[in-house]
Amino acid sequence: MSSGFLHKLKGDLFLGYRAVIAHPWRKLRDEDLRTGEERFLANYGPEGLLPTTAADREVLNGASRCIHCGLCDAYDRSLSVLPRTVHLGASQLAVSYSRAAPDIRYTAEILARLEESQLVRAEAVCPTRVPLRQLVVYLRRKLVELQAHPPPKTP
Amino acid sequence: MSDVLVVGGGMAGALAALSARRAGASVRLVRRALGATAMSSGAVDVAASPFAPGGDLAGQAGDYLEAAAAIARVRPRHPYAVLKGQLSRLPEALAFLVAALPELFDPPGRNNTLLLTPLGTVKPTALAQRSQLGGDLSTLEGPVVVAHLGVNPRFDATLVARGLTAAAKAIGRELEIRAVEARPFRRVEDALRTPYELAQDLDAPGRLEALVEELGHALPPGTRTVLLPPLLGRSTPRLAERLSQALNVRCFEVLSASPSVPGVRLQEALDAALKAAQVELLEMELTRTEDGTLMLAGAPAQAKTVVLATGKFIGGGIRREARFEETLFGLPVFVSGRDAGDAALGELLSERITDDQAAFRAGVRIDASLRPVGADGRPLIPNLFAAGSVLEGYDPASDKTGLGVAAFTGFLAGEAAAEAAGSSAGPGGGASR
Amino acid sequence: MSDAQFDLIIVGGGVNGTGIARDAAMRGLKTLMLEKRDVASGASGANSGMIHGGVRYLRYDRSVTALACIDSGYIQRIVPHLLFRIPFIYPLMAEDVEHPTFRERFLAYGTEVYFGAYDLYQPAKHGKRSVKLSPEEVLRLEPGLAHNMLGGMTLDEWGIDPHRLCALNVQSAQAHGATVLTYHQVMGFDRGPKGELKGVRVRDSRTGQSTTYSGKLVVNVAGAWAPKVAKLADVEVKMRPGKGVHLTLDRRFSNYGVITHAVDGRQIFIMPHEQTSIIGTTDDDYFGDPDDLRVTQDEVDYLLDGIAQAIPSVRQARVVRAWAGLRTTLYEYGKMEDDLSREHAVYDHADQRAPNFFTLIGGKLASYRVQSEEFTDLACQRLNRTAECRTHLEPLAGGERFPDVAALSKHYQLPEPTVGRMAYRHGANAEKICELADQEPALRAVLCPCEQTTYAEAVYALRNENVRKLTDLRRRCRLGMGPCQGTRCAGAAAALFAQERDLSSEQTHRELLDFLGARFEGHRPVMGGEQLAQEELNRGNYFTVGNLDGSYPRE
Repeated sequence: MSSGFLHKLKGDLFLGYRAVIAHPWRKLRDEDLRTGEERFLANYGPEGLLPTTAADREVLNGASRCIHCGLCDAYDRSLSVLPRTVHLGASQLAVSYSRAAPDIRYTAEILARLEESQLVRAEAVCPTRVPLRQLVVYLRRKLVELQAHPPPKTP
Repeated sequence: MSDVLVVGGGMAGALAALSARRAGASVRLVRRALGATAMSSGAVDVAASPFAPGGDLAGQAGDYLEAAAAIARVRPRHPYAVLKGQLSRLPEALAFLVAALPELFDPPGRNNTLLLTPLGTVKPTALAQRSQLGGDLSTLEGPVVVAHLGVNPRFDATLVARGLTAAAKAIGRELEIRAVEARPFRRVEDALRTPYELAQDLDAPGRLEALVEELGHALPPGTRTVLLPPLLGRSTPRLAERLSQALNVRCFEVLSASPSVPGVRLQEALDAALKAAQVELLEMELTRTEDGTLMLAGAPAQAKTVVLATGKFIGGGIRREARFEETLFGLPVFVSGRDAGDAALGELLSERITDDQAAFRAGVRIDASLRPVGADGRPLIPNLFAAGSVLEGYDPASDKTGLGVAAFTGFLAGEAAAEAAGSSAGPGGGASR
Repeated sequence: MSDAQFDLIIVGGGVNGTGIARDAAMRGLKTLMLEKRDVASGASGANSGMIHGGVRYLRYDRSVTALACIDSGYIQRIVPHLLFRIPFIYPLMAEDVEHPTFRERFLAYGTEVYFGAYDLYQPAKHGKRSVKLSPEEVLRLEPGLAHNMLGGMTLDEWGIDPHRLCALNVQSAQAHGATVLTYHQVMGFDRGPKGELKGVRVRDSRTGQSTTYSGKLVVNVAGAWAPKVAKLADVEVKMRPGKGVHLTLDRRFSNYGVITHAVDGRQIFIMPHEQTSIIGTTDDDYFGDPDDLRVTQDEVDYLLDGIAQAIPSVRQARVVRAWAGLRTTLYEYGKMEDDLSREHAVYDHADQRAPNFFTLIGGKLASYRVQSEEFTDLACQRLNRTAECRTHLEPLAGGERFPDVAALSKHYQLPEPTVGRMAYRHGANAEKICELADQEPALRAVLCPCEQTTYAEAVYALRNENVRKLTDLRRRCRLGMGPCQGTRCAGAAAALFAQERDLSSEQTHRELLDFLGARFEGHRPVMGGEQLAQEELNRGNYFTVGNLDGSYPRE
């Protein structure tokens, strides 16, 4: 081993070779006509890793105000429509479903049956003004986006 | 134009509105959302002796008025201290509350009761709902059964039973205590339901009878008292009594942390009392323009006097981003006796969670007439009053004075606001402009 | 005095300790692992949680990068459910985008080349090729970024839950016959006539009981405490502990990590991690007590200000927790050089007159398996045992396959998001947990709704995953690690813990207070905005109602 001069020189020479020869050569031969963004989304979209827009972030900032008091659950009309074995209550929208986009695919069945109108009173009683109905809209929007990037057929 | 505009609809705001109505004022109450009252245990803490050390349950169970006076002596910024000249009216305020909510409360005694919590601890409280009160450690009769109600595991009867045994011993009582299971909730779904749903389930026809039958089988003969999870009816306050009658055994629910069915019961009972007293209840956000006009749904909210009962952090009355702020009027916020300014939070938070946390005593300073004042003690805005946890100097968690301060200050602030409205010259002056 | 003689005694239950315990046990060594607190209580539980490919070594030590990427691939093979992909965006900055300086353009191209070279190693860890982005594309992928960019480069790494990784290593070690004792502190060593280590004197911190265990070899992998442990054998281990602070947000700020620079030029990042985002990190020499590590306001501000420079809207995000760990940076290179990494070393303390005593120090989470393999090879050599390492071939518990979440949800009648989180944490063993819920219907209930931890999962952890204190439960199943940080679940969890361990009410309350106190430590440095409302509710539940503070004498 050596952190010595020669050792470092070898490393820099390799990078120099990459910079001057190998990398430009690779780019020249690259037949992929997709834009960088397209490649990026093709890389990561199928795993649910999609961009978070400014509009998304506004809703999520609202969700972040949740202090998990559970009052929305006391006035959540969706509880009479959705069985508890499928959906636990309005509070889940903020503390669970909307926290990580890759997990949103697990809420598809719930979102198919939730309606914003069921959440009007629940939203009205929330002490920190979590936008429950906008959260439903957000989750639906993400589900649609996720469908545009279906997961790969895993072996 | 109303005489009094109350901002905030928890215990403090509701009592202010009711108290102002009693004094003959026209009252509007505007509330953005629910707050700490609806998350509370549903029992009203007035005061526990500040001299009773941790673990001294008997000391905590003493006379709550004496405890309030003691707190006024040792905590000069506590609302009880600021209002010490009127502390003798505390019983009147409590009686007022009891009279307004007869479905929930009976007139209290002079001493704190010691009630069980779902953690198996015991806490002192002055005024509990009828469905909770019989669980008073000092008076409950054994043999006691703590009953778990089937597949919902959030209530652990064994822990409560063990805690009750230890607490009973601590105050010198020998009680026979057992944990049993009855299963009125036995469907797969029931394990996942919210406490509100389970409580509501018991309101439905036939469900009380099913519970009676289940418990009847499960209770050992000779049982005198049954302690149950805090689920005894969402909208049937007398459910515990009916259960007791049917079983011929005294049945009570323990206190509740959030999500709290008794807390929601309390809030809904306050709302019903407001309606019955013809307080106009508006569920919307009140805003304030730069020149100080209060606005409701786009129009000026005209009132002769205003009571600020917007709560602390949960209620949104006080916020801290870069600095502490009172969110509606921009009143100065005081903490540790001084104007909070940009006091660093690190100075206001002790390292140990069980130590006093100054940050949670932050709030608006008032004078003995419940008017918000500045550091010089002078009222800041004419015809403005304040009540409840928006106030400086008290912390329900360490003082055990939570809803009691809200009720007391609300009661007095409503009166003061009504009086000021009666003697105010006319529209356009004062807090709403 | 215990009768058994162990082949190998491991002092320390972090990722190195648990990794060695697994490898040694799998190779048939009679193994004892001792940890004075819970597994992953030190740096292994306070790091960024990444199994990365060592991109920073690409410049001078490509072999290190190659091996790191290969090993990352191995870890994916043995515990695939626990890994999640983190794409990173590296913005290429310029002061004046219209007129970039030569240096800025050189750096931009250099980054492109560097990431392009890393692409050579990505396939080993199933990473994707780097992508070059225009400034507009960067902004569409991460709209929050401030605008002075020439473009961006992307690569991806893998994130992992480091607590579960350690817990699974322990489970595997035990399945192969190892003895694992948490909350057991080493108080001293028994030495032979030549100074060789023969045994370990250990104190169970929960019962106070002391025992001596004899062993042929002892390895000190106590991380920040390694010098203290070594001292017990009159051996000096020099170390430069480096304090690293992280912040946790209540949810994912973005699905992509962003690398940027703090005010002092140091690289810092914000990245998604499970259902949160993490901001990190600092690196400061620390000479205090490793048991008393605190986060200061300065450190919080440093990180937040740094990220906010690049992404101003992060200031609207909710920070729920600040935490610190101590890196065991090598003070000097030891006698046993290795080819695998410049960052770790194995010391043979025979040269300090303590034969049979070794210290493995430094390294990174991402290379734990290969570091453990290296040491276990050495141990086998010393013990004249021939056994091949198989830790890269055998899956950890649950790693055999990823369950069908939708099918489990339907069959066992549990909400799909709940099963989803369960499957992330437990892989194939989610099926066992669902079975448990089926047998005892009350266990179907959700104990921690933020992290979707069911009672069944908690009970499974309590029965199988070496849980000795309530706070251990949070490392196993994320209890109390969501936005409400235990406001909703701490009490119920304490009750469950008490039931499974048959505790008195006083013991239960003590556990609960310890749990709440530990959470509070993390909240205190970031207590503003919504956190104040959260804490007000927390205090409402546990003090106003629960009266935990009034129920026992103050200490």
